[in-house]
Order: sequence, then C-alpha cells, then structure tokens
Amino acid sequence: MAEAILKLADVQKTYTRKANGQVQKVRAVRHVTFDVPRQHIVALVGESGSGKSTIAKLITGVERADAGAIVFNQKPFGEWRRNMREYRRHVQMVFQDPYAALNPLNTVRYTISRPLANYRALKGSASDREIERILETVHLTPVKEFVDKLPFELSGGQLQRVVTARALASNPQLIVADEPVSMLDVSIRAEILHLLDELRTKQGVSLLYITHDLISARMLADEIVVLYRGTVVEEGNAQEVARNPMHPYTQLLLQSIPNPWAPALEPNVDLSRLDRTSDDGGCVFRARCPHAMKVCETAVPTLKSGAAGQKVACFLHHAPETQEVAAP
Amino acid sequence: MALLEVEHLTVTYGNVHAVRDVSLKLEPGEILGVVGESGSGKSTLGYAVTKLLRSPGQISAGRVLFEGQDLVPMAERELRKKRWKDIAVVMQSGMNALNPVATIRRQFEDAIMAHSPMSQTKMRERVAEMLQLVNIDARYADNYPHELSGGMKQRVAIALALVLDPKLIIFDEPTTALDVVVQRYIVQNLKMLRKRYNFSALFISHDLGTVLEIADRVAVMYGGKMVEVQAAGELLKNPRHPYTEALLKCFPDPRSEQIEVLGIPGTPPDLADLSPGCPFHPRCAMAMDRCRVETPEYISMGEAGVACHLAAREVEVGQNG
Ligand SMILES: Nc1ncnc2c1ncn2[C@@H]1O[C@H](COP(=O)(O)OP(=O)(O)OP(=O)(O)O)[C@@H](O)[C@H]1O
Ligand SMILES: Nc1ncnc2c1ncn2[C@@H]1O[C@H](COP(=O)(O)OP(=O)(O)OP(=O)(O)O)[C@@H](O)[C@H]1O
Ligand SMILES: [Mg+2]
Ligand SMILES: [Mg+2]
Repeated sequence: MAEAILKLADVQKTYTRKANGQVQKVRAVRHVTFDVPRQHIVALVGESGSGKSTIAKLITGVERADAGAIVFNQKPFGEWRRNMREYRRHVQMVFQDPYAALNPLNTVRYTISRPLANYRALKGSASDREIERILETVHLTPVKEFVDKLPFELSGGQLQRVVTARALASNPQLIVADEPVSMLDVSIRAEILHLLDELRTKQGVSLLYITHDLISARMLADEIVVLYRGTVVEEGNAQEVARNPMHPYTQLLLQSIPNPWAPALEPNVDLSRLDRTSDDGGCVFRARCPHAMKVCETAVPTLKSGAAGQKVACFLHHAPETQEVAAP
Repeated sequence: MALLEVEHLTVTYGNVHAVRDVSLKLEPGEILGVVGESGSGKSTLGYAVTKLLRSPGQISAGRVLFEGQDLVPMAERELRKKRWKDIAVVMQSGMNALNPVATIRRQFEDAIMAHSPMSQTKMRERVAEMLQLVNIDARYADNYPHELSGGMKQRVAIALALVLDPKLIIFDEPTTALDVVVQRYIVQNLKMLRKRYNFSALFISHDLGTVLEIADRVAVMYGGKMVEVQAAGELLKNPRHPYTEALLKCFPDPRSEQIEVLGIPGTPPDLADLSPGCPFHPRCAMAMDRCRVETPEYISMGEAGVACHLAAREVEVGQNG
C-alpha cells in the first residue's frame, strides 16, 4: 500500500456547550485512528452527529484536537502550526453546500484568483492562464462562458465545480470534501463524483470523502472508514466494507438504503432503538445493537483485523481482552 | 370520487413556466410519489395545490379540485380553514420550519386551538399520543426544537401535520436532508401511519429509491411537465419514458456486484423557453426529428400515462396487437 499522506492516531475532541443553563460535554471524536494513503480516496462514512465534520475541522486546522496526533506528510500538525499558510496550501476543503460556500458578489474569476495570488503569487495574465486551466480541469467549459459569471447564474452542479476549482487553485496534495454531493440531485452528483475521481487519477490528489451514503462511498473510494459516535467501528477495502459489512452498525447502514428491487428481502430497521444512546462506558453502539451481549456493557471493543480483511471493533468478531474490560 | 384532481395546471413565476399543463388524480388513501431533478417543478406543484406559492408565483391556468371543490378561485379565508385540517403540508427542510422560540408542545397546542379546540387535559393526551406515533418520548414535548436532532425535528414536523387528522398531506422532500438510517425510519413510520389513518399523500422527492418504496403510484416530472405516471412496481419494471429509464439507471441495486456512478448527461431545460418540442429531447438518446419540433401530448391510460412520441407508438402497437 502507498505511504500515508495523512495519519490520524487516537485523535480526540470534546466540545463543551451550554444548554438550559448547564454545561454539557459532547465527545464528538473519541478515539479516531486511520490513514489516508497517498493518491487514495478514503471515505469517512457515518450518520449525522457521528463526528465527521469535526474530523474535517481538526484536519484543516479550524478546530484543535484535545489529544492524539495528526500527521501530514510525515510532519506532526504541531509543527505545521508554525506555518499554516503552507499547510493550507497543501490541504484544501470542499464544503457540503455550494450555495453557501461562495460569496454571491464575486465572479468565478475573482473567486479562483484569490488563492492563486495568496498561495502561488500568480497575478495578471499568468493568473488568467491558470484560471483557464483549472476551469478546464473541472469541466466548466467553454471557459469564456463561465469565468465572468456570478453564483446566481450557475446551477448547483456548476457551483460545486467552482468550489472544487477554488480548492484546486493552490495545487493541494490533499482535499477534504465534506458531503460534497448530498445537496445535489443524481445527475449533478454523478458529475461531481466523476470529477473527484479524475482529480485523483490525473492530478494525483489524495482525497478524504465524507458522506453518510455508503453507496457513493463504494463507488468512489478505495477504503471506507465507518464512524459511529466519534469512534471508528469498521475500516477496510471499500468493496468489502460496503458489500459484506461486519459491524452491526455498518450492516444497519447497508440495510437502510432503499432497495425497491428487493423490498421483501430487507429486514426492517428496529424503530424503537433509534434515539437510544449509551454513553456510560461499554460499546458505543450497544443501545441500538440487535446483538448486544453482557460484555458489551462493560468493555469497549477496539479495532482488530476480522476474517474478511477489514478491521472491526465488535465483540461478535473477537473476544474481549483484559485491557478492554478494564477500560472506562 | 377522487380526493384530489388537478386539471391542466400551469404555474408561472414571471416568465418562468415552472409547472406546465399538469393533470393528476389522487384517490382517498393513496400515496402518489412525485420525482424529478432539481428545478423540475415538484415543490411548485405541491405548493400550488395548497395555494401557498411564493411570490411571484401564480396559477395561470387550470383547476385544483379537492373533494370536487375548486381551490383556485377560493378566498384565502376559506382556504385557511382547510389548510392543516383537511390538507397539511410538511415543507422541504420541514425540520427548519418548526418555530424556534416555542416548545414542541406549544406548536401542537396552537394548531389544535386554531382549528378544533379541546380541554387542556385532552390536549396533553393528544400531544403525547402524537409524539408516540413518531416514536419520540413524550418528555421531549417541553423542549425547544434546537434541543432535538435533525431526524427528531423532522418526525415532529410529520406529527404536527397529522395532529388534526387531515385527508391529504403534502410531503416536500421530507427525508432528503437526513442520513439513511433516519430516512429509512421515517419511511417505515409513514407507511405504518398511513395504514392507521388512511390519509392520502403527495410525496415529493428527488430520491427515486425512497419514492418507489413508499408510493403506490409515481409521477415523473421533467421541465415542469408530467412526463410519466405509473404504479411504482410497473415503473420499476417497465419505464415508458426515456427520462424515467435514465433516472432509474442512476439508482443501482445496492446488492449488485458492479456499481457505477451514472448520471444523465446534459443540462436541465430553460423554463422561460416556450418553443415547441419535447423538453427532454436534447438529452434523450432516442430523440427523433419529430421530438425537436412537436411537443408530445400526455396520453392518459387510466391510472398511468406518458408524454413521449416514441412511447406513444409502443402504446398504440400494444393496444392494437
Ligand atoms: N461547535 C460545537 N459546539 C458544541 N458541540 C458541537 C460543535 N460542533 C459539533 N458539535 C457536536 O459534536 C457532534 C459531532 O458533530 P459533527 O458536526 O462533527 O457531526 P457530523 O458527523 O458532521 O454530522 P452531520 O452528518 O449532521 O454533518 C454532534 O453531537 C454535534 O452536536
Ligand atoms: N419564488 C420564485 N421566484 C422565481 N422563480 C422560482 C421561485 N420558486 C421557484 N422558482 C423556479 O421555478 C422552477 C421550479 O422550482 P421548484 O422549486 O418547483 O423545483 P423543484 O423540482 O422543487 O426543485 P428542487 O428539487 O431543487 O427542490 C425553478 O426553475 C425555480 O428556479
Ligand atoms: Mg457534518
Ligand atoms: Mg423542491
């Protein structure tokens, strides 16, 4: 496997917030460890509130981790902190909502010229030539027709391509795309997924693709990391994880995808467990797990290699060790 | 008698013709799915039925018969009595449509008091009962919307729509903003509720997979027009319109060995353009000369229908042979 461009090791983040006059702690990221190999596409998959965007914010430096290590290009994030400009040049972000990500008063040309000037000191005709090249990369052609447009003159898919073009302008090595297609309908979705795939193949960009959609993760990614309540519960080859999931949560994700071709085959999702949570030690998925056992209440399962090559954190697949039983 | 009958409805926003000559029928207890890409006029159709169009939206032609009565010429005062009680709406991003400064309980009570007042004790029972329907613990009744997760808010919005036992509910993208597990939950929940309360529904979504799962019949919109209607199972097996067929290919069977990212190449039609021809012809792999110049008529076949020159030929052959 390729060397890792990005490594997360036991990363943790707890938010504190006030609600009803009380201070609450939200453990958004508990223990997260995974790699993004160079020129790979890794999908980070999980439900709403599982901590996906928090991980994106930690990687891009918008938020600071409480503990653990984030290593980019062999250099820990702490060292990059002294040179954030350089870091941002290499690590770019694409957000969920293309309508909100762009300033409505700026033309496409202006939007892309900013990072070109900031990170690569390109101005005037050199900048214009590069803008043209980047717009061609994201298939906003003929360039002449798009370059002077304002956001309201563009469709959702075209806007998301402008956002992607802006992210590409600094020549990044890694792009973190946080739900880049979930707001878009299938046609535009396909367009953007093809584009992301092409960026990896043709420009050698590595990609962390964040989504709640296991199917698009399977279509696009090489590896899938499944997140539940700030914990990695399963990880491995994208085809394996999406087709033969081992963790009961990943299985639930797969069963939840509407499949009109085989409605009779699908087991129903257990309605009564949806809002249950278990925050008092033990497995984080226990309260919703149809297979929960006694040991799941007292011990926290850790990621271990399973039979099919993927890693899974579940006592159904490996017996607890003393150290896990002792964990809080 | 049909519960809802839309006849030759046209809705415009200035020179944008967002819904074009659409006719449909909804029987009591029936769920009709409405699918189509972004901008195809789905929400506009839903809002026109309740006459809640956003400015400058206007019904420029057609009738909307609810229990035989045309809502188009009806005074706002009369309509207000029908909304919520007879026809309820769950708005696109309905979870953000909840009043942020009122508790969940207050929102239920306001609706009840405005339409069919009852005693405080009865009302408490009713709120608990409604929340239970969507599997939300009654203790959340005294919380504010922001204290609930997105999926819970969306379920509260559904329970609110149901509280006055309406005959028709219009769901505009009720699950699109939610993650798959919650989507799945809401679809199952709606199926159960429909069995129990026997309401009819227009279920609007661009997610064909979800629509096929919940709807009895599915209407496919393209460029403001209704291009095909069929029973859900039939649509899946024998789509008649090339757009429906292309759309179906974008939703692969999650169990299949190979899945590819497929879309429909080309761009959506310009809704200000009124020149004749099939709106889908520039993106249609089967387009014929005729499709460029002549708008295909919507051919109704009872519960189903299609607007396509090619499909019309096949329908004729089918009927003669
Ligand atoms: N700034 C913040 N202050 C307090 N709590 C926060 C903050 N940001 C996120 N959280 C909480 O942290 C948890 C993880 O949130 P996060 O946004 O990372 O989830 P997500 O997986 O991206 O969800 P979604 O799919 O809804 O975008 C949630 O419980 C959220 O409410
Ligand atoms: N208030 C408005 N003023 C002007 N044009 C509008 C207005 N509302 C909608 N439109 C236009 O009418 C057309 C149909 O919009 P509508 O919201 O009905 O589409 P939709 O099928 O619901 O799309 P989506 O899937 O994005 O919700 C679009 O071209 C849209 O730009
Ligand atoms: Mg997020
Ligand atoms: Mg809409």
